[in-house]
Amino acid sequence: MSSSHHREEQHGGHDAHHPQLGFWRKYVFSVDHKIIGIQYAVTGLCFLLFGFCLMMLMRWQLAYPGQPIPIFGRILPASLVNAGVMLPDFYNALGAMHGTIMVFMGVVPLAVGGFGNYIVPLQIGAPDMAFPRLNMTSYWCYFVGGVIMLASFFVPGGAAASGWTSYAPLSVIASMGQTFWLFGMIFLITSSLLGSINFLVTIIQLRAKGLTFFRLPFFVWAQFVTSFLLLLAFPPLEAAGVMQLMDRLAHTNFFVPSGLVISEQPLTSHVGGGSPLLWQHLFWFLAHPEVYVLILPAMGIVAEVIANNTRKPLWGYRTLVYAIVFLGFMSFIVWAHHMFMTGMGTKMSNFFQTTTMIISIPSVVILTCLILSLWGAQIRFTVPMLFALAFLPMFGIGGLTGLPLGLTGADVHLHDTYYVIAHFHYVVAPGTIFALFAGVYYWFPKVTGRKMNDTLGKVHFWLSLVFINGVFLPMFIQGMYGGHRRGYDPNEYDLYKNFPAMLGLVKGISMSAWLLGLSQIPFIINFLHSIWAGEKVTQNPWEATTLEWAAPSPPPHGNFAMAPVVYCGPYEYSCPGRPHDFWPQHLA
Amino acid sequence: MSDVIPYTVEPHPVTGVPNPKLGIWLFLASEVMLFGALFSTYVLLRVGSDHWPRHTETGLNVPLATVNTIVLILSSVTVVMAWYSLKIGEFGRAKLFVAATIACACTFMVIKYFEYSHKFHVGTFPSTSNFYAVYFTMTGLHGLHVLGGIIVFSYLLATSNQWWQQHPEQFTNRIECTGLYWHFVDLVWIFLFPSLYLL
Amino acid sequence: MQFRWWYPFPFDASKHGWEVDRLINILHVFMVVLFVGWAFFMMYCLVRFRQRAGQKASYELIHAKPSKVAEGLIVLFEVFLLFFLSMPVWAKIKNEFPEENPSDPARKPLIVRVVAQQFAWNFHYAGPDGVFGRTDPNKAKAGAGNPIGLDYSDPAAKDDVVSPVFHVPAGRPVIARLTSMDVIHGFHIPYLRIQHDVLPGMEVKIWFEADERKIPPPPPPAPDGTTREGNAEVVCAQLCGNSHFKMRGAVVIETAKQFAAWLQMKQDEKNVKFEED
Ligand code: HEA
Ligand code: HEA
Ligand code: CUA
Ligand SMILES: [Cu+2]
Repeated sequence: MSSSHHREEQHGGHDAHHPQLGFWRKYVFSVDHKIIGIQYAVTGLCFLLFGFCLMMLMRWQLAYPGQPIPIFGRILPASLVNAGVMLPDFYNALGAMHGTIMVFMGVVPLAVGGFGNYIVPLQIGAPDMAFPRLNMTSYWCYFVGGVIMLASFFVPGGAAASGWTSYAPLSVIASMGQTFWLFGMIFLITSSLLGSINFLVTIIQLRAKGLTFFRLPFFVWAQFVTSFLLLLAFPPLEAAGVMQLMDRLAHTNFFVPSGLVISEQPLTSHVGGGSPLLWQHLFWFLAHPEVYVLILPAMGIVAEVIANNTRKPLWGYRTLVYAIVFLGFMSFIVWAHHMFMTGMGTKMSNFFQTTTMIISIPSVVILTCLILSLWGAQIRFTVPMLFALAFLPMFGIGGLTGLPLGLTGADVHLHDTYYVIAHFHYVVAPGTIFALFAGVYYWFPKVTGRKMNDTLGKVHFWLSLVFINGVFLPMFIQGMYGGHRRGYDPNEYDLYKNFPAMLGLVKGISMSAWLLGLSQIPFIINFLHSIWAGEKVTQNPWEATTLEWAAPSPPPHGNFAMAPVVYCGPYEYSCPGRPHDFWPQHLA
Repeated sequence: MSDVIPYTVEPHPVTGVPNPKLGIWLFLASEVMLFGALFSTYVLLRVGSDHWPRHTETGLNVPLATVNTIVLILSSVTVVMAWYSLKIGEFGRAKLFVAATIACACTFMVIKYFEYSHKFHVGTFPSTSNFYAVYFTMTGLHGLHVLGGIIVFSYLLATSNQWWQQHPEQFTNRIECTGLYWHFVDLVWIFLFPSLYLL
Repeated sequence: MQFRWWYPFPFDASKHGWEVDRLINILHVFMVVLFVGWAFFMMYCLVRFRQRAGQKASYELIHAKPSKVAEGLIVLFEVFLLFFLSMPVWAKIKNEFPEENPSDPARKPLIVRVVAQQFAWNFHYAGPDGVFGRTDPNKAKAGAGNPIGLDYSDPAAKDDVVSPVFHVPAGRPVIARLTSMDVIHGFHIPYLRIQHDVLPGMEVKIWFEADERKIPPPPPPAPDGTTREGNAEVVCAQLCGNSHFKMRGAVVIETAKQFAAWLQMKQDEKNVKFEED
C-alpha cells in the first residue's frame, strides 16, 4: 500500500534525541498525553467494573429481599449486613455510590480523560496536549477524588447514602460519608475543569496545518463541545458542594429550611432559613449538561467507527456539527425538567417542557445523520462496528423515552419510578457504555500495536446486547406500573402485593444483570490477553483516514516524526478516482 | 522536531494569543460561573428571607474593608506596572512591582485575618445567620483565591532571575497571565465589597 | 381490572387520570412508530449494504428528503403534545383549583393537610368546622397519639382528625396541602395519577378527584389469608433516609357516605378519649 509506505518513512530513528526518563516519570507521573490517557482509561474501566459490582450486589436485595447474600453476606461487616442480609443504609449507600462512580469516576474519565486525552491530540496532529503538566495534575486530582470516594466506604456510618443527587436537607444531616462524598466531588470537579481547559486550548491552538474546524473529525467536535459543558456547568456544582460542606461542617443554613423536626427532636444544629430547592437548582444546572457530557463523546466515537466501517463519508457532517453545538448550548436551559414535581409554577414548568422538547430535536438529527450514513455503504461488521451499530437503536430507546419524562402531564405519573431508571440507563449503558466498548476495540491497535480477538469480541457483544436489554427493558413495565426507584424492599409495597408477578419480573432483571456481569468476562480476558499476546497489526489496520492512524502504533513521545499537514476532510472514503477506498487526511 | 508544543509563548496566528493566555481566559470563564453561582445564592437567599440584616446591623467593619479594597486595587496597578516594566526590559523594577503586589495581597490577607478573628471573638460564626454564612463562604473562597495568587507570584519572583535570563518572553507572558487572574480576583472583591458591606 | 403486560398501567381511580394515560399512550405509539420506522430502515441498510467482495461504497450521499419531512413532522407532533396534551393536564393539577365554596355543597372540596415525616404519612382532616387546629411540630409525639403536634388547647383542633390512613371520598374534589416536618418526601398515589414533592419549610397544594364509578376493589388477601387495609396506596417517591422504602400508607377510596361515616367514627373515638382524660 503506497500510503502506508509513505508514512513508514516519516519516523525512522525517532526516539534517539529524547533523554531517558526514569520509570516513575515515564509511567506514573508522566506528562505524556498518551500515558495519561491510558491511566485515565484503565482507572475508569476499573471504576466501571467496581460500580457494576455494587449494582450486582444491590440486585440481590431486590430479587431476594431479606435473604442472606451468598458469599458476600459472610464477608461484609455487621455494620452493613445483618445475618448476611443487606441493611437499608447499605443499600442506599450502594445506590448513591453506584450512580456517583459510574457517572463521575467511570464514564467521564474513560470517555473524556481516556479517549479524549489519547485520541484528540493525535487526531488534530499535535505533539501533545497544550499543557502537559496541567494534564498530569488533572489526572491526579481525579485519582485523589476517587480514593476519597472509596475511603468513604470505611468511615463510620458508611458511604454517602442520599442518592447521587444528594438532596438537602437529607444530605446535610446524613452521616460522615456525605462529607467524604463532597470532598471527593470537589476533587473530581477540579480535575474535570483543568482537563476541559486543556482540551479547549489544545483543540483551538494546536490543530495541524490545514486542519480547519470543518475538517475536524466529529469525535474532536464532540470533545470540544463536551469540554465547554464541563467548563461552564461544573463550577456551580463546585460552589454548591462548598456550600453543602459549610452546612455540614460549619452548620450554616444554605440548604436547611427553618423549623425542622427530625424524629420528634427539633433540629438544634441548624437554625434554618435556607432553601432546599436551591441545592436542586445548582445540582441539576450541572447534572443536566453532565448527562450530555456522558453522551457526546459516545456519539463522537460512534461517528468515527461508523464512517470507518461503512467506507463512506458521514451523511451531513456539517449538520452533525451544528446539531451538536446546538445541543451543547440548549443543555444549559433544560435542567429543571428534573424538578417538575417540586412545585415550580406552571410558567416555569412550561418553559422547561418546551426547552426539553427542543433539545430532543438535535439528538434526532444526529441519529438520523448516522443512520442515513449507512445508505450506499459497504458495511464491515467488525467488533467495534457491532457495538456502534447497537448504540443507535439503544440510544434511540433511551432518548425517545426521555420525551414522556419531559412532559409534565406524563412525568406526574412516571417521575422517580423505574421508568426513569430505564430511560437513562438505555442512554448510558447500552448507549454510552457500548460506544465506549466500540472505542476500546477500535483504538486498541493504536494504543498497543495489537488487535483484540474477534471471536471473543463477538461473544462479548452478543451476550451483552441480549442481557443488557434483559435488564432495562422490563424496567419500563415496572416503572409504568408505578414501581419506585430506591426502594430497598419491593415486598413492602401493596402495588407488588396486589400483583406478585411483577416481583418475578424484578427477579428476572436481577438474573439478567448477573448474566450481564458474566458476559464481561470474555472482554476482560480479551483485553488483558491482547495487551501482551494480541495479533500484531500495522499502523493503520482499519484503513482509516483520520490523523491518529498516520502515527506509529503505539505513537512515540511527540507522536509524529514531522508535523502532519492536512489536505482534506476527515472522511474521504471511497472517493472516486482514488486508488484505495480511503484517502488519509494528511495525503495531498 | 515535532514534539515541541507550539504557541507556548508566541501567539497563534489565527487566534492571536499564546496557549497560556487562552487557557487563563477559559479558566476565568469557569470562575465567573463559580462566583456567579455564589452570587445567585446570595440574591436568592436574600430575596427569600424575612429579615436580611442591613449593612448597619451586620457589624461588619466598613473602614477596614475600604482599606482592603484600596489595597487590592493598588495591587492590580502594581501588577500592570510589573508587566509593563518587563515589556520595556526593566527587570529590576518589575521585580519590585511583583514584590509590591505580593505585599498588597498579604496586607489584604492580614486585614482579613483581623476581621475574621474579631468576628469569631464576638461570637459571630457562619452558623449565626444566613448573612454570615454567605459572608464567610464568599469572602473565604475569595481569600483562597488571593492566597493562590500570592503563591503563584512568589513562585514567579523566586525563579525570576533564571527565568528572565533564559526565556524573557515566556516570563513576561506568565506575569501577564497571572496578572489577568489577579485582576479577576480584584474584580470579584469589587463586587463583594458593596454587596456584603454596603447594601 | 386484568393486568396486561403490554399495557402496564396501574388501576386508574381518578377523574383526570385518563388524560395522563392518554398522553403517555399517544406518546408511546408515536415512539414505537418512530423507532420501528428507523429500525426498519437501519436493518434494511445492514442487509443490503453489507460488505461484498469487489464492491465499493458510493461516495455520493443520498438525498434524504423523507428524513427531513420526518424530522419536521416530529417537531410538529411534539408541539402538539406539548401545548394540547401536556400543559393542560399539569395546569389543571397545579393551577385550576376547584372553587372552595361552590353553589353545589356536594362539590365542596375536601381539604386535607398531608404532613410527611421520616417515615410516615399523616393525614389531617379539619372536621365539621372546616378549620384546621393549630399544630406545632415540636410537640409531635407519635407515641402519645399526636404525630403532627396538634395543639388541643386550640378550639379548632377539637374536632380534627389525624389518621395514618388516607380516606378519600370519591366524587368530590380533594385539595391536599403538602408539608414535611423534616426532609424532602414525595407524595405519589399511582392509582390516582397524582404526584408531588413534599418540601420542608413550605406548603404546596395539589388537587385531584377520585371517580365514584371507578372505586378500586379491595386488595386480594395474602397467601396466608391476612387482609390489608386500603384499596390504594400512597408511596414516598423521594429518597428520604434509610426507611424510605417503608414510607407508604394505605389509601381508602370510598363513597362520600362511607367517608362521612368514617370521619364520624374517628371523632367519636376521639371524644371518648377526651372524656376519659
Ligand atoms: C447520557 C445521558 C442522558 C441523555 C442523552 C438524556 C437525554 C434526554 N433526557 Fe434524560 N436523564 C438522564 C440521562 C440522560 N438523558 C439521567 C441520568 C436522568 C436521571 C437522573 C436522576 O434522577 O437520577 C435523566 C432524567 C430525565 C428526566 C427527569 C425525569 C424525572 O426525574 O422525572 C427527563 C425529563 O424531562 C429527561 C429527559 C430527557 C430528554 C428529553 C432527552 C433527549 O435529549 C433525548 C433525545 C433523543 C431522542 C429523541 C432519540 C432520537 C432517536 C431516534 C428518533 C431514532 C431512534 C431509532 C433507531 C436508531 C432505530 N431525562
Ligand atoms: C454512567 C452511568 C451509569 C451506568 C453505566 C450504569 C449501569 C448500570 N446500572 Fe445504574 N445508575 C446510575 C448510573 C449508571 N448506571 C445512576 C446515576 C443511578 C441513580 C442512583 C441514585 O438513585 O442515586 C443508577 C441506579 C441504578 C439502579 C436503581 C437502583 C435503585 O433505584 O434502587 C439500578 C437497578 O437495577 C441500576 C442498574 C445498573 C446496571 C445493571 C448497569 C449495567 O448496565 C452496568 C453495565 C456495566 C458494564 C457493562 C461495565 C463493565 C465494565 C467492564 C467490563 C470493565 C472491564 C475492566 C477492565 C478491562 C479493567 N442502576
Ligand atoms: Cu419519605 Cu422517602
Ligand atoms: Cu436532564
